[in-house]
This record gives sequence, structure tokens and C-alpha cells, in this order.
Amino acid sequence: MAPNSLTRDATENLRGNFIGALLLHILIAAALLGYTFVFDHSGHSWGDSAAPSSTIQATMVNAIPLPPRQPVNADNVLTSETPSPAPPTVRDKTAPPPDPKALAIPEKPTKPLKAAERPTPATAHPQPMKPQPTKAQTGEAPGVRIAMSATQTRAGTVSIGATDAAFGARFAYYVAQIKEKVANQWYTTMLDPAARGHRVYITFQISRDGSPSQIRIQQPSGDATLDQTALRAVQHIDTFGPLPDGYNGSYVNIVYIFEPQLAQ
Amino acid sequence: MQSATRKLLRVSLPSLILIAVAAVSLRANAQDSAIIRSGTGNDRIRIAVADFKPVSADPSTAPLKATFDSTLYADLANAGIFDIVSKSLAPQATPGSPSEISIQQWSVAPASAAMVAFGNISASGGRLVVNGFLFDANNQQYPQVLAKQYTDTASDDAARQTAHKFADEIIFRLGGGIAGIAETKIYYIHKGGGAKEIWEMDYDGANQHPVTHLGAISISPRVSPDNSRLAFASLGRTGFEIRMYSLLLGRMVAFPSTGANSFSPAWSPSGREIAYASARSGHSEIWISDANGLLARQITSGHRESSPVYNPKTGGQIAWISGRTGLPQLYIMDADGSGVTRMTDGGYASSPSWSPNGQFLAFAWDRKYGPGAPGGQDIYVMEVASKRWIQLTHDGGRCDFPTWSPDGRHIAYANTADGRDDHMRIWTMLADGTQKHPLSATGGDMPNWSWK
Repeated sequence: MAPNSLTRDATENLRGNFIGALLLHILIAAALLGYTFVFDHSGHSWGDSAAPSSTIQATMVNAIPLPPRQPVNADNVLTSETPSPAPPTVRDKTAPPPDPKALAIPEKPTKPLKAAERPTPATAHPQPMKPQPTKAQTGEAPGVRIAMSATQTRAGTVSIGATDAAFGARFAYYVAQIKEKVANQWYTTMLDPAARGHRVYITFQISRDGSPSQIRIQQPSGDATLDQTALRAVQHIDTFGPLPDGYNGSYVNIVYIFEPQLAQ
Repeated sequence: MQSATRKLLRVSLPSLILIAVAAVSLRANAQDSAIIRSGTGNDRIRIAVADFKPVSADPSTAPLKATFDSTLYADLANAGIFDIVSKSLAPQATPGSPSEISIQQWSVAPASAAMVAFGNISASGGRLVVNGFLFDANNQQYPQVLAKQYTDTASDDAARQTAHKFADEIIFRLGGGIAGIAETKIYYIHKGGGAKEIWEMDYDGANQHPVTHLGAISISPRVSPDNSRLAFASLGRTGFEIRMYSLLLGRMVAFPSTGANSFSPAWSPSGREIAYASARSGHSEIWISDANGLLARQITSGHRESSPVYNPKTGGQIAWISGRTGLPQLYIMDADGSGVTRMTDGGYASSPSWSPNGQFLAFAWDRKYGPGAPGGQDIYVMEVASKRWIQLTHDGGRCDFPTWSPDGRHIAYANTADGRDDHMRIWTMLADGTQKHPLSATGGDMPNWSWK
């Protein structure tokens, strides 16, 4: 049988061709790798815009009127991620049956108490009615004064005292809301580290419609950055919400104390 | 150090910072990152809502009470300022009046509520009467914060509106004087039957119904600040035209045609002016006219301008999208066209919305635009003064058309999970990106939150 392209002689030696092909492929691969190694350059890909590497810090979420998230507190069973195991249930023991031989303890006879007869009270002579006050009663009474209520914020303690004695007790929720709102506006990134341990007293008035006015430093702390950030925190606020319905006054005086945390 | 790093990460993740970016800033400047807010100190107000007590034997009371209770609970849970007591933790009691409530029952664990909302509801003779109370559970001596009475017709819709009113009153009292949004509306585009009509729904997705019946393609509805008119763009013979619909009259009102493509209207906060993009000069530019479409004047000259939006606080600034340097970017300027400032530094930005307090811009942004680029179009919020931004949506498919709620605590937007336009639906979330949930079925697009 004559050899043609379809039949191969079994003894034909292909080693040289094979090694040649192998060397050629290695050369091609090396050339490709070498090209990328030599001509490699890093640049902006299309549509890329040299991404900013430094701009990102987002403390500004403060100003969105949302409260911050609550942290997970391991001590609080409701927020802990690892709840403590439930205590074993204790079964009530059934009381033993009474001894059939036991004698009942005799009861002492008790004498009925004598009650003295009381004279029936005489009916009061009708008195003329006192004139009723024309002003409506709002149910207000002088309450116990809560002088100050203090809160820990991310940067320190803020305390607040409404100088109207009863206000803090009567409308505790409103005072808590003032505290919350001011604390959220206190930008402590501007604080000098030396301000820790100082304390500034800011006074202001809240009028009927909830807007603060007459914002003043009552007692400076001795640290300018603390005074300024505290003053700005109150100045930032448009309104605290209208004063409570049950309150008759036209404004409330507030003393707000800013006190940065001592070293953490 | 290890624990400090872990703490930083734990603090920064809820603060909605990109993980990758947080890692970069950690490495670059550990002290700065530590200043990122921690959650200590200020808590959400923990509020409990008792089921209202039915005080009339009328059989229509029960379904109205069910509607009222669920609406009030949902409104307070979505408000963003409360930590609401789950109904399973609340006491079984249904106090109907201040004399029936035992405050201690609510202030102790497991309810541990700081505030309790309760009251009674009755329907008789076609009248619905609701008495609502809000008590401060920690103030034994003077617990009452709020007492309200509402009367309306005895219908399911009225029960829901009454619950919205009471919820708004509570949010107003406890949220620092910012009015609640339970009575606001969202206007949006509903696609169906080959047309795109403008629909309206309550802020919680209830009561979805059409407003216009034009049988045309309408886009970008914008309600006026006094809720009396609706401006939008509609496809006519000469392309998109600004059209005007009166919500008071219930019909279209005249708005002059410009003879060229005009779209994306925006109301000034005074309601006296409308800014829109128009190609009447040959290129797409921002124009401002009065509310009747007269006295139009051109205020940009960049040739590729669109999507203006006023600063709702001052009315003195306009944010818009411009393609003057290539891909569309976010810009702001004064309302007379001066003081142009570029806000975004790359990518593909669109559909800005200015927050009600004027401090933030929400917009859709594809930061790495191009074939094969990572990421997609998501909602971002940028602080105008500092140009710092945060990303609010992640990996949820294409997001577009953010719109702020009037209290600045919520953002509604359109999202399509698989990228297909006909799967667009409207979602809402808090302005920090949490509590996302859908409002409309598929086919809802381009939401616009009413001003009040």
C-alpha cells in the first residue's frame, strides 16, 4: 500500500517536529508575557474618573432628623445576640395528705367587740356658694422639680435644666426632646482636645411656637472651641416643636450644659 | 488595637459607609474614623400602641377598628424616630380612657415603653368617633402628653385617614417639631395598556388610584408646593411638552407649548415659578418661567442640561444635571444662573432631589459608568456644603428617581431588581438607607413626594 496523507508509516519519526512545535509555543507565550511586562501601564479605564481616595467620612448623617441606631448591648437580654439560657422550671410539690390520727387544734372563742354608739352628725347649715374663678382649670399644680437631667452623648455629657421649676417635672418628655435635638447638633469634631473636663452653660428661651431665641453663653468654659461649638449647636436649630398644650406660659427658659467627655 | 479596629468597623457599618472605603480611611487616618458617630447616648423613643377599645356595639366598629389599629401601628413604626413595642410584648389590656390605663403595666418589662398611645373608637349612625391619648409612661405624676378627638364618616378610608392624623400629631409632638408625613401623598407614573398615566397613592402605598386619563406617555410628575397643581411632561406631536393638571378642578389647565422638546418641570418653593429643561433654543437648556408658563428665560448655556430642582429651603439655588463635560454630572447654581458648582467628580449622575432642609442632595449615580464597570446605578445622598456623600442602596438592581419626604426622614425611589424597565416599582426607605420596603406593584415609576 502506497503511503498517502491519510495513512502514516508507523516508523516515521515525529520527535523533531514535536520538540519544534513545543519550542514555538513556549516562545509565543514568553513573547506575550514579555510584552505585557514591558508595555504594561496602569491608567484610568474608560468611564473611570480617578476615584477620590480621601473624601469619605460621613458624620453628616447627623443632620438628617433620624436618631442613631441603637448599639447591641450584651447585658440587655432583649438586644443581646447571645440570649442567656432559660432557668429550669421548678415544679410545685403536692402537699402531703393530713395525718388521720392528728387532733384538730381547738379554736378560742372570741368575744364580739363592743362599739360605742356614735351620734349622727348634724346636717350643715347651707352656705352661700363661693364665686368660681372665671379662668379654666388646667390641672396644673406645682410639681417636684427635677433640677437637671444629664445624658451621655458621643462626645460627653449634656445636662439641661428648665429654670421654670415645675416645667421639667410636668413635661419631662419635652425636656428630653430638647436634649436630644441639641445633642444631635453638637459637632464635636471641632473641639480642642484640651476642652475635655471644661463645662459651658448656654441659656436660651423657647417661645410658644418652639423657636429658640436669646441664645447666650451664661458662663464660659474657658475653652473657646467648646464655647463656640455649644453656641452653634443651639443656633443650628430652627424649632423644638411648639410648647406643650398644658403649659400656660409664653416661653420657657432653658439652661444647657455642655461637658465633653474626659479622655476615653 | 485588634478590638479597636473591630469596634471601628462595627460603628462604621451602620453608618452606611462603603466597606472598602472604610478600610481605606482606617488605614489612612485611624483617628478621624474614630470620630464617626457611635450609637451611645441618644436612643429612639420607645413607644407602645395599645389596641383601641371599641365602645359601641355597632357591628361596623370592628372592621374600622382593625384598619385604624394596623394603620396607626404602621405609621409609628415607619416614622423613623421610634422604637416601637411589638404587639406580642405589650400588655393585653386595651385601656379606652385615661382612667382605665395602668401606666406601670406599660413602663415595666417586657414592654418597657416610654410612651403609650391608646384610646377608644366607636362607629354609630354612620359617624366614626375616635378619642386618642398619648401618655408618658415614665412620668407617673403628669402622664398626659396629648389628647385628641376625631370625628369622620364611618368608612374604611376615613378610619385610615384618622389614624394618619393621630400618628402625625404624635410624631409632631415627639419628633422635635417636624410635622409627620402620614397624610402626604406620592405621585408617580403608572405604566399599563401602552400608556403612562399619573397615579396618586398615600405615603404608605395604600389607596393607589389614577389622576390623569390622557392615554399618552406622561413622565416626571411634580406636584406644586400647595398641592393644587401637577406639572409633568407628556409626549405630543412636537415631542415632550410641559403639561399642567389642576388637582382642585380635576382637569387639565392651559400651559403654553414651546414648540420643542421640554421636560422635567420643577416648582420653586414659593409656587410662583417653574424651572424646566427645554430645547427651544436648539439645545437642551434650563429655562425658568412663571407658574403659567409665561415670561420664560434661559439661565444656562451648556447645551446639554436637564433635571432642574430648586432648593426647597431657600428657593435661591437650583441643582441640575449637565453633560457639558461629557458624561452627565450633578451641578448646583444660584437661581439666576450664576455661581455654577460641579458636585460629582465622575461617573453618570441623574435625577437630583433636594432635601427639605436644604442640606442634602439625593440623586441616582453610576459611579463607574461603562461596559464591564463594577457596580450599578444606586441612590446616593450628598451634603451640599462639604460634597461628602454616602451610598444608600447596594446590589438591589438599578435604582433611580429619588424623592425626599417633606420631613427629610424618608426617601422614595424607583427600583428594578433585574434591570428590566417594565419591572420598575416604587420603594421607600429611611434617609439613612434602612427599612426599605416596596410601595407599589411593578409598573410604578418616577415617584414625587408631595410638599406637605
